[in-house]
Amino acid sequence: MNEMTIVYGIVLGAAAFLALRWLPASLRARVGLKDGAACASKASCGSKNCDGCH
Amino acid sequence: MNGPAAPEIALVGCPNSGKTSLFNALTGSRQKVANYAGVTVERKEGSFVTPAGRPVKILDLPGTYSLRGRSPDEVITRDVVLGRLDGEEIPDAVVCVADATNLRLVLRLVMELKAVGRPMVLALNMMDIVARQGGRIDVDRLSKELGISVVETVAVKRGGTAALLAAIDELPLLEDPPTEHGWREPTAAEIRAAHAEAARILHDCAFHPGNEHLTRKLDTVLLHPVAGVVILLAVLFLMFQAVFSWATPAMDLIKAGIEAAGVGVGEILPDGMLRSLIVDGVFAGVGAVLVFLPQIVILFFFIILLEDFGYMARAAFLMDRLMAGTGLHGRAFIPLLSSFACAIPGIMAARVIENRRDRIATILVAPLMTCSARLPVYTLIIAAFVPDETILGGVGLQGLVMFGLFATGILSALAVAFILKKLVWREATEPFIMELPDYKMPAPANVALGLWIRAGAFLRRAGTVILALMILIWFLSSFPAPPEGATGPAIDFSVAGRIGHFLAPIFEPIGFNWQIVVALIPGMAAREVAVGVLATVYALSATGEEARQALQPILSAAWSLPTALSFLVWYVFAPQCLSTLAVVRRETNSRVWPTVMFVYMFVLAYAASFATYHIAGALLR
Repeated sequence: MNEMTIVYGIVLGAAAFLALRWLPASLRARVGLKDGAACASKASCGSKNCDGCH
Repeated sequence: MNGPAAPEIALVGCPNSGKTSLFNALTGSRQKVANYAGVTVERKEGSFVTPAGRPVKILDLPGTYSLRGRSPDEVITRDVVLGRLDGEEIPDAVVCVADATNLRLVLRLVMELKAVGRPMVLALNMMDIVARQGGRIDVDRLSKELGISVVETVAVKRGGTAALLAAIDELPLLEDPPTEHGWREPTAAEIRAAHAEAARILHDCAFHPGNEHLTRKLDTVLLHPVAGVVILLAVLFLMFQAVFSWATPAMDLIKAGIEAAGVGVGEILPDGMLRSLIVDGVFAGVGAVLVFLPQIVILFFFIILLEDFGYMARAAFLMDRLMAGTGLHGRAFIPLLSSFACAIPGIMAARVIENRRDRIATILVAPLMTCSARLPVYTLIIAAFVPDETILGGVGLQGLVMFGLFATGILSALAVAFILKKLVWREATEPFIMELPDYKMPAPANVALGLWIRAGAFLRRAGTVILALMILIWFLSSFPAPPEGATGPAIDFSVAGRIGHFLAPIFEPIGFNWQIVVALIPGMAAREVAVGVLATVYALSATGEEARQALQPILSAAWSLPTALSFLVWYVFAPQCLSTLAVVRRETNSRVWPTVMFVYMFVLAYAASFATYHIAGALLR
């Protein structure tokens, strides 16, 4: 495989990952991802229900 | 086949009574998590089947100390129990979970719940700790006094769930359809009477040796208005000294490992863009953040230890006096303390504050507390510019500067709160009542688990968001490639380089160069990414022999001391976190407050960095 194809593939993958992660809560729920509400009653980050505030 | 309708049980209890552990033990994976309509309070429903074969639905309600509803979470619990919440079924029965080591706190809630008249079971949780402490609870007598079934549980070990299920089977469920209860708030006299009754029952049914004598003796010193504050400052000071001095060997080891891996991979891959992506983007960028793992672990080691020991509640008590002076409510201490980990859970924890203005004041100042994502930035700059020396007979200068940065964050949070509460919203702050637990030796397993969770969260973040961001930063710093015959570093021609050069004039008055400007932008997504970006940008800016040195010596050579100090001050105040702003928007249900937060923090950061840069420049001239 061409080196630049691999590079572009990695970059696009990273961009897609971040785009999905930072979708607005309403859109996240619509596409079947957790909406961040699991954090709502947690006193700290790192809980097993945490879907990553960031 | 249509069986009988499944009765619904409400799980109620004080915060930290082990309610959720019991819920998990009863339901296993049969859980649904959502929010209550219109509010960001979590709704957890599950189901299980009793030994008699009866399917039961169970609702894990937010923790509360009474039915008076002093915060949005507590209001939800009250309204569900009383059958007042639209869209919620009225529960057929209540299981009240009590921390058996602190029965006094829950007995009044039990009596309030009993008055509502639903069938009820009291689960005395953490009975293993009571036994270990040499305590005893006469369960039969307590059951007789309260007029309800009482069972012993150890939810974290799934102990006692069989007895609880059997007790639930005994409840008269679905016999009479529940109706809304006409509860009214108790008067002061009724509350006093309930306290007296709770004390009597406790006296008759429970023996808890605790270590009250030791607790009282320690508290005379640790809660002393002067000595207590001095000790608190000393504890915090020691913590930051340790963050620096203890972490160094482990950090050096991780740094050497990452560098060796980067060199190894660099030798295997042929020279080209893929090699640059792996070495300059992934290893330089993510590696620059990963080396701070030991410091994060040490910081949380102290926080967890002090919390388990029972000292954090004392720190809240000591700080309340100071916070009340600035107009902040005593309940703001826990949200502000949580903000040392991350402002987001801190802002969410502000829900415990009933008064909206108190709550918004706390939310607005929470990001000024130094979150753990700032630690890598502070450490990098301090290590590069502050000599590793001791002063005043053994005090580490680097740790002292770190302590100063944390203290600056705290003091500025108090100052902003003072301006808001005393000058903008002039109103009295409500009194704050809190329970001080007995001191106890921290359980090593508990501390280890807490550290494991924290370290895991940091590594997960480094391996996901930070890795993805670093790949994008590398791409934006490498493309488009320079035109043929161009001289100078390739990054000058890239998208990131052009953005940096374009925005640099705005930040020039505070001493920032274009590389710092490039680092600030992705730093909005995650503060610590700024460190990785600086590593990547300087790696790609470098030419020939100077390429791929460690970041620290590069910064020492490239930045002046006033620039470094200005950068540190920027990070104390700047609204460098989009997620925080998004959570403020969600928690306040308004666009106004995140805008206010962004503007005031940006102005504060710019003004403070400007002053620092110019004053430091003048002093060093």
